[in-house]
Amino acid sequence: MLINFDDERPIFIQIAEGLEDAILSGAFEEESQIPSITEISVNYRINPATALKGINILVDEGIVYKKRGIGMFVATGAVEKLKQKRKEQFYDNFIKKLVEEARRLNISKNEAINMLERGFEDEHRN
Amino acid sequence: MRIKTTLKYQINDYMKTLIIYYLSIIGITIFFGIIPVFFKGAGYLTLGGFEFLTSVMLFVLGLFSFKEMFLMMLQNGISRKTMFIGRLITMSAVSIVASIIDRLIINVGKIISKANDKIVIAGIYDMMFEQRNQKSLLYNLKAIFITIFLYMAVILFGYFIAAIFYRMNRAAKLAVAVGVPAFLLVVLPILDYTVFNGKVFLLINNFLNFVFAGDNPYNLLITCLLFIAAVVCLSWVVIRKAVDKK
Amino acid sequence: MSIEIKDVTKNYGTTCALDKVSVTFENNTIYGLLGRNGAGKTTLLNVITNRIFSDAGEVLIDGIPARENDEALRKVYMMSEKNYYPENIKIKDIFRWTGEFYPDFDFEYACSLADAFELHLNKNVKSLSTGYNSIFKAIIALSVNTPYVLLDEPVLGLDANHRDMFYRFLIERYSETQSTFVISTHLIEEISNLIEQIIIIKKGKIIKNESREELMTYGYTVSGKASLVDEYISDKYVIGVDSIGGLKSAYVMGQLPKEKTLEGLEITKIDLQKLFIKLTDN
Repeated sequence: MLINFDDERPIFIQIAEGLEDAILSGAFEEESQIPSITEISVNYRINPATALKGINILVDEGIVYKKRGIGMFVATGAVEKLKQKRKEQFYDNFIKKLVEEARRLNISKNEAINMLERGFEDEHRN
Repeated sequence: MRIKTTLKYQINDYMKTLIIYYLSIIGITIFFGIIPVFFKGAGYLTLGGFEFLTSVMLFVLGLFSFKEMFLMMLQNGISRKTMFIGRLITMSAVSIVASIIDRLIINVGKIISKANDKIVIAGIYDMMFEQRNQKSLLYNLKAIFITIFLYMAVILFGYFIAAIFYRMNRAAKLAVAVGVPAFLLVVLPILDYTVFNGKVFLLINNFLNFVFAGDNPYNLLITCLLFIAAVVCLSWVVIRKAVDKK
Repeated sequence: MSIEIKDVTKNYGTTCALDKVSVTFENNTIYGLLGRNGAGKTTLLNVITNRIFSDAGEVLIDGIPARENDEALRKVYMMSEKNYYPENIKIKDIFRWTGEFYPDFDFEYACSLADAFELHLNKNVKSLSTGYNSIFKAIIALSVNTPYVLLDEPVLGLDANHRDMFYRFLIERYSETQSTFVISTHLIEEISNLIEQIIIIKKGKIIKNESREELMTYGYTVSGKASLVDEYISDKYVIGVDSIGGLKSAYVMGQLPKEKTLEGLEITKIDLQKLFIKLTDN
């Protein structure tokens, strides 16, 4: 789990996203244990309350749950839930920015679409 | 009040000095005094003034009893009140112990003196007061009792000086350190000779006679008690507002 | 359960070191007490711990007046820049005595920390370098387990490795004991992520007392061409500006706007150190 705190958003959100990324990538499998609040806060030199806040986001969304006396675990179906959530955020996080940047550089819609197609093909080849 | 821990620490603070002092005194007395004369017939030996030496040791001990302790107490969340009361208790305890040990040393000294003509070991108290009947238990208890207050006066005086010097700024410290001796040793004698016709020295002389020279040790006792009361009050006035200096 | 500082004033001659300072340190929180040199941070901490006396106001520790009160003072431990420990005593003896004065002191933990920092317990305080002076006091502060721990420049003189170790141990310890830690420091960026509540003191007065999030959300930087920036900030609460040539950066206090780029301007988050500098500039 790698978090680069140069980002501008609140730390607890970055913690939540870092965990989400790790779950999506399979680094934390479903029904396996994720690092404790203490481990996370010590590791990233952040306040435990902040780490707790980040984890609680995932708890609220049903991505992780707490096993009393043991720790936090990834919920079954978490990966699907996350993919769904990310899909919904995809437009805001990527498409919008893409369009903004394209506009700034005077790239037309068609040019952008062509680049998009090229991107998928390149990916497909690799 | 966390007085118990404070006492424990303060006594510990004094222990080292006390042990070193008495081991030195006894050691020196035995190795350089008694053994040569007693066993090797090496001339005469006169040893006296134990109480004086102990007084000096206690005065110096008092001088060093303030600053380091004060800062340590501040660091550990102990109030000045508790620290002060603790010091009073430990200083009393030290005075009592020193008085008893000194009396024992002197009595042992007397026994050795008896055993060998060439050795004379005596305490100041014995030389000053009640020349007769110095062997009774009552006499010794009285001597211990009175010496305790003498020692308390001395150690408290050292403590008071340490405290007041801590409170003073550099200028004041210089003024006192130079001014007081200058006054006592230079100004006062001159004034006395020229203006007062020797009356001041007469007064001092009479006072010293009153306290030490009579056969009556109770004058010394009263003087010490009054002195102790004054010094304790003045010390508290100085200490209660003492702060950590930057 | 808190340390309440109520209208505390402290004057040194004509200088007012603390001017009617009121602030509360709640339990189970990490506070950052930030201020420039001479702002009054150490004075405030010294008043709390009975090292100096305030001229007015009072300090209550868990409801008990702290002034000359052993019971109240045993709940607080202060680690200061200046050394209050006797110089000729061994470190391990200081640990031992700390355990006597503060019964919850964890001797084993302190020894394990000393190990980690490579501090030799048989050394005298006198023989320690500046860095190790801070280290041994920091170790005590981490091991003492009082409800409130005040740290005045805890990492003074520590190399980067030791500073990092200290923060890790601090977080670990905080997770376990949930004591309140008040960290007073100049190294704002390093502790920025650790602290929950920020208190900024300027010339003896508290100018900010907010959670880190509130403070960081309600502050942002607007950058771009000077004229555009000026137009944008005309109706905003600005705490400072930086200019280079025709470019300007303005530091604004206010709600972070949704749009990150408007009309040739760039909106970025403000970091705590920058915020602090601008707030405490003269």
